[in-house]
Amino acid sequence: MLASILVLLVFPHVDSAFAIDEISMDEARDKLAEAFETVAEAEGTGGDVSGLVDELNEAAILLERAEVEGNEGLLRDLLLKVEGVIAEAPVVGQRGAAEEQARMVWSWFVVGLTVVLAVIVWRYEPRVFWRLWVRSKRGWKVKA
Amino acid sequence: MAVVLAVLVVVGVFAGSQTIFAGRVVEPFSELGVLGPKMKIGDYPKEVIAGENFSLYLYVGNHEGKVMYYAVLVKLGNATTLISMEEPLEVAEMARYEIMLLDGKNCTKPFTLSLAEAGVNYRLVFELWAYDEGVHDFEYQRRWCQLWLNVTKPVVP
Repeated sequence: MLASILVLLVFPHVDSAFAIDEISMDEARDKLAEAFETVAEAEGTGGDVSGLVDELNEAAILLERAEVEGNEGLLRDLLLKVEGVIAEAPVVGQRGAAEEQARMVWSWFVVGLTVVLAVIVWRYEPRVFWRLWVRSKRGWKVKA
Repeated sequence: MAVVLAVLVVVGVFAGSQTIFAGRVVEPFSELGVLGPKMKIGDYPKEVIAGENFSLYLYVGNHEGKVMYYAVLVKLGNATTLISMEEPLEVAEMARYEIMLLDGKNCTKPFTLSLAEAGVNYRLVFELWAYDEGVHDFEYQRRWCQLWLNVTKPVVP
């Protein structure tokens, strides 16, 4: 027990290294699917997920290569990419939701402004028009 | 005054409709295609040698209105294989290619295959599957295409 404690103290990252090495192809595929679900959710709230999709496509290529070559290093790289996407997706989603809300507020403001302008024009335009017309014809003299 | 009012009403209706309907996809669909070695429709190989690689291209397009995770499964059938529009082929996949696409995007991906056994009238069937977040698994999209091939024995020197 003392030996294992000493090992953990000297090599604090042993556990995480073993966890990555133990990941199987099926687990890597499940992790990729999990990352896709977070990206889809972020897109649903209005986030720009194009960068995240590019990362996941690179991870999918790593998975294909790992299946052919049997290289565990590729699985490790895949896991790093996927974990990064899973962490970043909610942030992208929140940012998108805020932008979507701002866009919605602006759009309804434009609609409301248009309605107000229409009411003002309908109410005051004849008076303003004729006032301007009379002013423009001020110098005219009516000759009988 | 009437003209100005009419213009304002049209602008208001347009702005309102954009707010409500922007980004909606009326008829979502996905695309699957197989291209020849020159990345074009046509010039497909009709005869290949057993054990030797041959190259083709896969084309996948997304018009579903959202990001999609596609898998194209390559399966081998023959002249008696029944392919249904509704159900995938009940045969083990010989290759699998995965791609994620944003709405409105497409991808053309090279791939290489080889067939081990000689024979005639083989059908290389390509099925389009997509990941469904609701069931947490891939679902068959009822999109498929095929390539008829004859496989000849390699020439022994």
